[in-house]
Amino acid sequence: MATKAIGKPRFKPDRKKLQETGLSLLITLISLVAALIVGAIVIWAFGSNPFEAYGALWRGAFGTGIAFTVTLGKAVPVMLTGLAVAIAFRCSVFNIGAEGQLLMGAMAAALVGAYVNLPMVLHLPLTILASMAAGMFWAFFPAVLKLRGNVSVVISTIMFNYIAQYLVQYLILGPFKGPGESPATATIAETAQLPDILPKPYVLNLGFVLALLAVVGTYILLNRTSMGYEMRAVGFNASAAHTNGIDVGRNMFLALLISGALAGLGGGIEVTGSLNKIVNNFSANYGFNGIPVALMAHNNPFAIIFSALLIGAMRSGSSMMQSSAGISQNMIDVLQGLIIVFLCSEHVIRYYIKHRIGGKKHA
Amino acid sequence: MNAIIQLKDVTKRFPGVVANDHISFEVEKGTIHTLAGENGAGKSTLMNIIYGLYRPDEGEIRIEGKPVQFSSSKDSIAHRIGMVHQHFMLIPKLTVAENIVVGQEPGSALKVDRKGAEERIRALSEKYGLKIDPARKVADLSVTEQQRVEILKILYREAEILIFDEPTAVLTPQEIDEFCEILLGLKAAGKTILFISHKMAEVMRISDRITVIRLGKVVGTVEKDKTTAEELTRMMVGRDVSLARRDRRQFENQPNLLELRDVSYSVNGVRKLDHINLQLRAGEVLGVAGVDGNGQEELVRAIYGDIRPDEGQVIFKGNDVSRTGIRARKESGLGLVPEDRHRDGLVLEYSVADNLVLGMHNHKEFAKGGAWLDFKKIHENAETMKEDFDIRCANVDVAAGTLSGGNQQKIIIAREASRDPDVFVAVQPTRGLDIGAMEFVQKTLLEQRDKGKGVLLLSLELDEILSVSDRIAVIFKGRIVDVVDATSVNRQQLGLMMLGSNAAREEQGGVQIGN
Amino acid sequence: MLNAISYLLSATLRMGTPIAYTALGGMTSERSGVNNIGLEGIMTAAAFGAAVGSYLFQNAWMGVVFAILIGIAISAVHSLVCITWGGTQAVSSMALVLLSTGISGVGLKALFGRQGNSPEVPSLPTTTPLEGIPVIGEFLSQQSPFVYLLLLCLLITWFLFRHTRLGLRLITVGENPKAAETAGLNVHRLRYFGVIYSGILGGLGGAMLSIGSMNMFQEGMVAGRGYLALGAVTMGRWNTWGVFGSAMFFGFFSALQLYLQSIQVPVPTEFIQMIPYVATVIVLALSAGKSNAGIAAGGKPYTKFVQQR
Repeated sequence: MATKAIGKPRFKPDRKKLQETGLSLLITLISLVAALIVGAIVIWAFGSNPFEAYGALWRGAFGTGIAFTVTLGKAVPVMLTGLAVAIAFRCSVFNIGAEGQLLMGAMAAALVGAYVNLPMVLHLPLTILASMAAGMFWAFFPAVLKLRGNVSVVISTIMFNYIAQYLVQYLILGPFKGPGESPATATIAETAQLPDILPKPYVLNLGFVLALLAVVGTYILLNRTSMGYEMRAVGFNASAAHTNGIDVGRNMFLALLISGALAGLGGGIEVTGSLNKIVNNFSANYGFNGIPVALMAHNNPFAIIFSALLIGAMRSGSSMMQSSAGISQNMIDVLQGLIIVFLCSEHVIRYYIKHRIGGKKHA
Repeated sequence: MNAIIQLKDVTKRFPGVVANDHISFEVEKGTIHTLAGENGAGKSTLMNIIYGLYRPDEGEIRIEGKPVQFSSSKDSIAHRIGMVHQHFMLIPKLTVAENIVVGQEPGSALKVDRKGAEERIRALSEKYGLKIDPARKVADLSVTEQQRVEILKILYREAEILIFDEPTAVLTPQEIDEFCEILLGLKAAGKTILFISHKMAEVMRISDRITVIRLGKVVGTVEKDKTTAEELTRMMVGRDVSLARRDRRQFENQPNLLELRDVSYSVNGVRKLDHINLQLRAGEVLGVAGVDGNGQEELVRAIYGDIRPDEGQVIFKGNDVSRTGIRARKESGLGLVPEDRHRDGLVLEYSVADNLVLGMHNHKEFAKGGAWLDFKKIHENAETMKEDFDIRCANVDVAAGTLSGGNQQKIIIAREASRDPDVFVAVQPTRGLDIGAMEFVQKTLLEQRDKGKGVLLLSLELDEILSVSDRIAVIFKGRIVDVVDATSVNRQQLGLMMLGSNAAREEQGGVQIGN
Repeated sequence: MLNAISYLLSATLRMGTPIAYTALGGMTSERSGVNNIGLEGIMTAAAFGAAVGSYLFQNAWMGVVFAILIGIAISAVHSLVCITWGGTQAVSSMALVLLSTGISGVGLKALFGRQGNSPEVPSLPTTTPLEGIPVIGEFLSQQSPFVYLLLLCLLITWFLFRHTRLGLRLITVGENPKAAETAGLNVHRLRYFGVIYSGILGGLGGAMLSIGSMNMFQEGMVAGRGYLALGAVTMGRWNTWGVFGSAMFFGFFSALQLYLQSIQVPVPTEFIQMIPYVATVIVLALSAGKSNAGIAAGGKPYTKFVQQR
């Protein structure tokens, strides 16, 4: 089917590119709508009213100005884990370890933020960098295991998620337990806290801007540098990349490290921006949410802004859904799972769209 | 007349090509019928149609007089047709018996009768003289033994019509001898054999009738006794000598650009390269001829740095590069046109412009400081290449995957030539191209030669080797049989060498085999 | 000392059983050519389903039935996406994990009106009929029926690949689907079987967690055992006994973790809890590079050779 285009009269390129982008967007929308419909059936099957549930979800996410800023804030960590998953994916590495890398990044930020004394101009950047380094460090082991031992990245990164979870739990409850009863680290110094960018009562901090910068940075890295050129070449066709002198293993290794740094940054922003410390089990699947975020955006950094906002909206609206419609917050996991299932069936959706458009042309 | 297979106007189109164009011929029961034609003539497609793996767009197939329409190989098996594919369809982990019976296992669903299967296979192998131990693992078998397993697989299914798709491509002359005996034995047992080949020696030896196809069309069907190898060759190629021989160059005093010294390489204990010695001089085209699978692939990989030889050295412009990687060799002046352009040559999703800098994307001319891609330069480069190499595309921003095969190949040739390499290695550079693109590619190779570069051309097409090369090296079983002046040999002599005649003579102590 | 051994043995069986079920299923799916990384999700949903079934009918065996049905349903979705529609197997698997976690959370709230865990439900902690056996009867009867059911599944799986027609065909489609098709086999149908078989076994593995070793469903109770099972498949080199042994090996590390916690070694619990995961990584690092005994055509969608026209 792939060879079909060969030899046919070609469209103007711009139109073709536009068509392709439009098609991707359409597929994402179809997947989203299909997921919402099936989700509605699930809600109905468990004895609730889907309209009420979705209504509450919407109000919770966008109902008020404050709610909207919460949504923006919730989008930040998943935007970064989405970028992490996407950049690795573009180099054909499936990093399911964003969760663990985010945890380690958050831990590093909490420690540097609380135990280092520096003026803000130095302390804040240092804290942020520490989180990135920690995320990268956590991706380093699976990356080495892949490069040297050919161990599946999927399994090793998952294992490292669990190891990170226990390690962080130990650090929070053990040596770095903060004052008071709560299972959390000490609050970080004010010099390590990200400033708000909107006046109270709105809640939005500089982390949102950092996330947007990360989007731009990822885009530049992937599309404007020779390194990104290599990574994408490896992702599209590793064999051709290799034959033309590109080191495939090295690129996959680097992609995983960068991916880890991005996820770590997500954790760092969460700590320096909104939590100011680590509470046990604070990351409710931020890492795993990165997968639907990346997939919905077709791994395009700029599109990730929007898919992250969508997931962020679900996260911020879910508590309203739980309290007023009585649906568990877990419903958003169901929706995300469904979105992935439909996105995964892209070939089929594409086939039907083309079939229909093709049919119209002939008629 | 007792036609067991009748083909009438069988036509199969693929996007952009008509692989089979109104093919009609008949195969008589109990004979060996050869389908001859050059690479890409449409032989394999036709066989896959007869076997039911492809469906024809038009035309009719009759088996024993009854029109048939196969929707899967299950149907063809039911009509007692069996096929030995060019690439064996075996599972190394399983035993010979398991490979043979899968799909039609003896015993019950709960318990496959392995003992019974082995006995039946033993009986079959004795009946047809196909020696094999059914209890062995396929992974431990040699190529000929694997082929026997494939044959037993279809005999086990009680096939009456046996299709062989280029079965000798992977065999040595001695093995081909043995194989021909097997086919004659099968014929004596009353089977009908449809044999695909483009090697005249074996075709003339075992066929009863021969159908020649060229560019998807039947040229003619002839009785073996009423034709000659020369006539068949002419029918296959369609012209006496395709491309006029180019003028040869003087290159006696030229320096060696690339030299292989005693290079050996083994995979899983099998010698793929056996003490290869080869010199490529400046200003010449050195053609490497040989039957597919005699070490050409490993030879190329050893030259461009994909594999490290077990022994020996690769000397490039006087330096030993045996231990360096692909990038280092390409940077020091090696251009490569790989065999499979989709797998190794291009990133199909990338634009034409991006593909034109693949491997050079971090050069100072295309990336500021080696890190920041300079799109203006990449674009300018692409426009120049598009003009110079006549790459036909709407513009250089379209994905390379949307171009035709010939234009895709031009991208690769343009890119490699633009590196201004000292040594230009081209592997089957014209495979699957139309005449126009083919000539363009060959012209470019000769231009490189005229600029004083060394060109190494590996091809399975003798015509191409003969018309483009200045010298010809013949490779057989991982050894260089001989290196000869291109003007001093003809097709037949070359063909003989490719079947290892020199090497065979040495091995067998002067007894010539294989012809 | 004897106590410790008995404890470890018993705990290894208890901890290893769910992993072994799932690993045997995962092996079957992978041998047919489809990777099922989503087994974690199947276990989660099945663990929940088992609790629901057991609760609704007040009969633990109905929980087992529920778990199996859920395993079938989820693996059928995976098959549809990966086999028929040619989707990416790893990605679809992650969807299963999210979907299953989500559904069990939503279900918990909707059916029991609570979060975190279900109420207590009838369970299958012991096999009392075995009490009568002399000497070891007591030990045997203290094991869950799931342990004995596992032995049955082990034998069935072994028999499947060792003797049956289906087993031989599954191996063929996994190793070389094209060869399978030319031999007249239906590649897609066979792969469906492989994946659904993994769903059934993954379902039993999940059920063991909620109504075998416990008597309720808890969120997060699967805790990566689905992934450990995948590690066991790799470590066991796709061989029935090897996979079973590896699963029990991982089970032993979980048991060791429990034992060390119970005797209060002076090491933080978190480090002890890490043991199974660290062990998996180490074992994979030591074993993966060595051999290339993987499944030849594993993980790749197969489009039929025969053209659909």
